[in-house]
Order: sequence, then structure tokens, then C-alpha cells
Amino acid sequence: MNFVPAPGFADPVMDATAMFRAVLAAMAHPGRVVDLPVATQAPLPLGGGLGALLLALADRETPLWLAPDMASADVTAWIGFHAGASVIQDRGQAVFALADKAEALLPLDAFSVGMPEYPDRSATLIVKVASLGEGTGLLLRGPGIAETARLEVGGVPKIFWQARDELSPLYPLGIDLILCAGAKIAALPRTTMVEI
Amino acid sequence: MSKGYNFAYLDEQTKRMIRRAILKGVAIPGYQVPFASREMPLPYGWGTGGIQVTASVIGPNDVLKVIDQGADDTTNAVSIRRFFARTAGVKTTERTSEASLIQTRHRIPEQPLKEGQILVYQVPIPEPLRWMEPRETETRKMHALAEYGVMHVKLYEDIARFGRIASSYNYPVLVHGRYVMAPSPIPKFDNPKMDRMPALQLFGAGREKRIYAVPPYTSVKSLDFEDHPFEVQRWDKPCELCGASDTYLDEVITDDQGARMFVCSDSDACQERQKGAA
Repeated sequence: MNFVPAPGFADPVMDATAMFRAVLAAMAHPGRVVDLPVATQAPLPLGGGLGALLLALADRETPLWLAPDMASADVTAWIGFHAGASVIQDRGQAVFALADKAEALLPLDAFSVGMPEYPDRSATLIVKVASLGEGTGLLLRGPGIAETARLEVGGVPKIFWQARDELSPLYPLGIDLILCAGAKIAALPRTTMVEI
Repeated sequence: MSKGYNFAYLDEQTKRMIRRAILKGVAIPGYQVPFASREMPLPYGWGTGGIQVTASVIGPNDVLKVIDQGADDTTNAVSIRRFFARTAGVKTTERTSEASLIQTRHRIPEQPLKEGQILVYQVPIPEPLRWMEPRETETRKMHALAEYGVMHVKLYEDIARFGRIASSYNYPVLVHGRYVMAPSPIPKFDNPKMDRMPALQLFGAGREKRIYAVPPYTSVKSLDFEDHPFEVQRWDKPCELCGASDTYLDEVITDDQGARMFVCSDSDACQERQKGAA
């Protein structure tokens, strides 16, 4: 082993705090595009933004599933070194799942949606998208949104939104989604209704 | 800022665990997320849950306000405010409008909260069904099935015995049309403020090890009946210090002859109004 992992957070405590606040703002305001306050030098295909999300949220208590387009020896080693999270093969057990492209996450119902008594025991999917922008695109409704919001998501096929929509009758069970484009994120918790 | 402690007291592993619970709470409004509550350097009942939520959320640029029954100057509020001034080095304030983060015990400030503010409630008993059903396995199932008949029976029994719904605090609410939630022991006077509030509301129960949340602009409806609609408390007289007639009033005994006065419970709102009148 002569692998030297790329750096993680420069300031683990403050960087994690700032990252969490960004994620919390995104999750509390679905469809809002939030700037990530810090980045990491995580290897591709993981990349700086996803790497920072992972370090803020994941640790040895949270099994991760990497989509085939995300799994590489460098990425697995970086995650193992900085977050201590184990990468697992069974996506149904994953607390977080990461993908380079949204369609790599399909089928969505293979992830845990939680149990009726414990809907929190469900997966959070973190996926890279080509671009994020407010004002046009998907029409969003639900908690955290005053009336409606619009979110333009680049590079996600319609079939993905249809698959997400098929989970909505299961509420309060479901999966939560964090989209990341470069240094920007937006979140779509299970409560957000998406019209294409 | 004190040396020898991590920023905001809690270790990073604990904060991550609490942060994950908060995010799931926001994603499932009103659902109580179990979390591995830690021992804190204050006794249960003094806000161990709220303090853990605040410690996991707070950042160096936050301005913190802490209230206890509406007041900024009572023991619980002063000691928690000082705790975070020492362990996180944050600015503190007594002004509702200046605060980015407000930890509260049993009140919602009178001044409407804005988008971007976060309100953290200290919760003693997070389970609204607990007095009707002591078994956690059963209440969990009742929430899973949205089987809330027992709560309506309780409210109905109040009407049958007293002619009205007698609960005046911790009055149960329905969040996002799905989960019945305990709003913590805030007076029911404050319940309407929770509905579609622009600020994010987080709830922490340390002894009971539960975190839950209400995202901004989320429907929060107080349970009632068509022929007995939800009502808030009213007072015959305005606040005797500031003259406000639209705030929640505390009864204060002023001597041992039975003299008493009614004054605002929200000390910041009351003082601001007195300043404005002067």
C-alpha cells in the first residue's frame, strides 16, 4: 500500500458545520440552489462537492452504496480513509448512495424506503447532475416551499423523475435526494411533489 | 471561548449522528426520529435535547437567543446562552429580530419569525399519545397507521366533562396532514404561529431521545371538532407594562395581600413595545 489519499476538509470541525448548514438549508427549502461553502480534493468521479457532502454526513455508522459509475479504487480508498464509512454491495442496506449520473440509481425501490414504524431508516441519495438553476424547469410543491418553486436540473432523464414519483404513494416512507452540480446543491425530500 | 472542548461542546461523531437525525426529521415533518442522546452537563428537564440540537446546528456566525417561558433573563435561558457563548464563542442577543438561532423553552416569540431563522424547542415528552398509551411499541404503530382516534376521544372527553377542550398547553397538532405531533408545552396561544411559519422549527427531547422538525411553510393544524373549533386564550385586560392586548400574559403575584398583575411573557417584545411608547 503506497496510496496517499487526497486531502479532505482543511478544518474538519468548521467545514463540517458549514456544510451541514448548507444541506439543512437545501433540505428545508426544497428546490433552492445552495452554494457549498467548502470543497475537498476528492478523486473523480466523486469530486470535490460530493466529497464534502460525504465528509459532513457519513461516518463508520453509515454504510454507503456506490453506483457502478462511481465505484473506483481511488474513491473507495478516499472514503475509507477520511470518513471511515464502509462501502457495501447490497444497496437495500445503504444509508447513503452516491452516483455520477441519476439513471445509475435506478431502480429506486431497491433502496430502503424505511419501515412504517421507522420511516427515517431510509436511504438518502446523493447524485451529480449537469446543472442546477432556479426559476424554470421542474415545478415543486410541498413543505418548505411557500407556494411553488421551480428547479432546472440538467442531465437527469424523465424516467428518473417518474421513478421518484412512483414512490410518493408510500409516504411517509420514501427516499430523500440531494443533487449536486459542481459547488451547488439542491435537495428534494420525499415530501416534495415534482411536476415535470 | 473555552479551550479544551470541541466547538459547541459535542464531539464530531455525535454532531454527525444528530445532524442526520435532523435531516430525516425535516424530510418527514412531525415524525419523531430516534437519536442517541448524550449526557449533557445539565440535568434532564433543563433542555438537554434542545441544547444538543443547537450544538449540532450552530455555526460561528450565528447569533443566539435563548428564552425560557418567553423570558431572556431566567436561570435556564441565561445558563444555556452562556454555555454557547463559552463553548462556541457565538454572539448572543435578547432581540428576536437579531437572532439567527433561537432556543426556546415553552414559548414562541411574539414577533413573527423570518425565513432563515431557526427555532429550537426543548421538549420534555415528545410523544403526544403517551398519556393515552404508555407503550412505545403501540404508539409507534399508531403513528405508522395514522390511527389517531384515541386523541380525538381524549379531546371529546374534555368536552363531555368540561364543555370545552380543556388542554391549554402542549395542545396536539397535525403536521402536513399526516403526523400528530406534540408542540412541546407551549401555550395553545402559540399554536397558530407554527402554521406555515417561514422559519425552520426543530424539536429536541434529550431524555426521551427524539428529534423532530417542521420545515418552513408547512401546515400545522391544531386538532378540533367542527362544533368545537380550536380557540386560543384571551385576557380581559392588556399587559400592565406595555399595554399590548394581543400577546400571551403571565399572572404575577406582587405582594402577600393577593395583589396581582398581568404582564407579557415575552420579555423582549414587551420591552420593545415599552421603548416604542416612551
